[in-house]
Amino acid sequence: MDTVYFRAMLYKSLMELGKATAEDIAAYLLAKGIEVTPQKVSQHLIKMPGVKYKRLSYKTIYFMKEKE
Amino acid sequence: MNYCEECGGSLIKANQSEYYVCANCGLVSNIAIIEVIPKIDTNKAKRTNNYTYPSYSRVLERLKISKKYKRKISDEILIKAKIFLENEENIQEVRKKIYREIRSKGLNSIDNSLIKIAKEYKNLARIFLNGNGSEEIFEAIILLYYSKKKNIKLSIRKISKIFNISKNNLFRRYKEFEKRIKIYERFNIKKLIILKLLGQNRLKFLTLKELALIANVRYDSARATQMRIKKKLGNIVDNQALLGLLISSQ
Repeated sequence: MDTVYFRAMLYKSLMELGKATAEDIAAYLLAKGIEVTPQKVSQHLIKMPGVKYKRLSYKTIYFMKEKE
Repeated sequence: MNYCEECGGSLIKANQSEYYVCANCGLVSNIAIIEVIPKIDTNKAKRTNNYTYPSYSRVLERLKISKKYKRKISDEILIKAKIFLENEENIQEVRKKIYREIRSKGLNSIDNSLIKIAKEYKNLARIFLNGNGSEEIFEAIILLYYSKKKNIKLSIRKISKIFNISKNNLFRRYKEFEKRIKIYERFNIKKLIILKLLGQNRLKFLTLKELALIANVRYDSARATQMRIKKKLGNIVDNQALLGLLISSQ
């Protein structure tokens, strides 16, 4: 799959969900027909600009950076 | 019976000694126990007499069949081997007969019920391989997948022989299938059912039985989960509500 398209889908899903874990996003994308693993999702999300994350002891929550 | 010389009391055998002791005054008599009875464990003797298990290792040794097959070959074949050996002198012919027996119902055969199952779940392999391939490949792949899920030992070589497919081709296609199905194996049956209701590309074509195989649960519990989800959703089946269920269940 094209990386640009995949990243665009990631942004879109994160915008729709607000706060989400990598597992949530992977399930959401799977429902849309894109087969991805949570590992791949987190791999891309960490590098993406405008995406912030908070590491809890048992999961990592991803969310969009608020505009000032 | 002997009596004590002093008091006239009866004499008893002393514990762990070869002398008699008076029961009344405790005097040790001069009379020693002369009779020596050999100690025989009657139970042990019985055990040795009743041991009637035939030793098949000798039979296998004479036939020059490796002993590693001893556990795998059924008792029926071993008894036959013994009978053949008793009746015939030519060991080569007996060997041939035994190998024929092993081939027909021994190591290299697969239970027919397993092949039936492979035909039942064939659709699963077809969907995950995007419909590319022959019917034999779908059946072989599903048989391999099913055996791995249920911990049945079946080799790729054995399956490829049954379905007349090359071993390499089966291995390659199985890896392709496994790579795709692994993504779905992470989910439990509840999430798989929700994805199916949402109309996911692959799962919408699968039956509940096939979903139960992916999630490795019994069909009954899968059906119960489906009923619970339908009850929760009520009459209105909305995509947003389903997505909410999918995400909140993570």
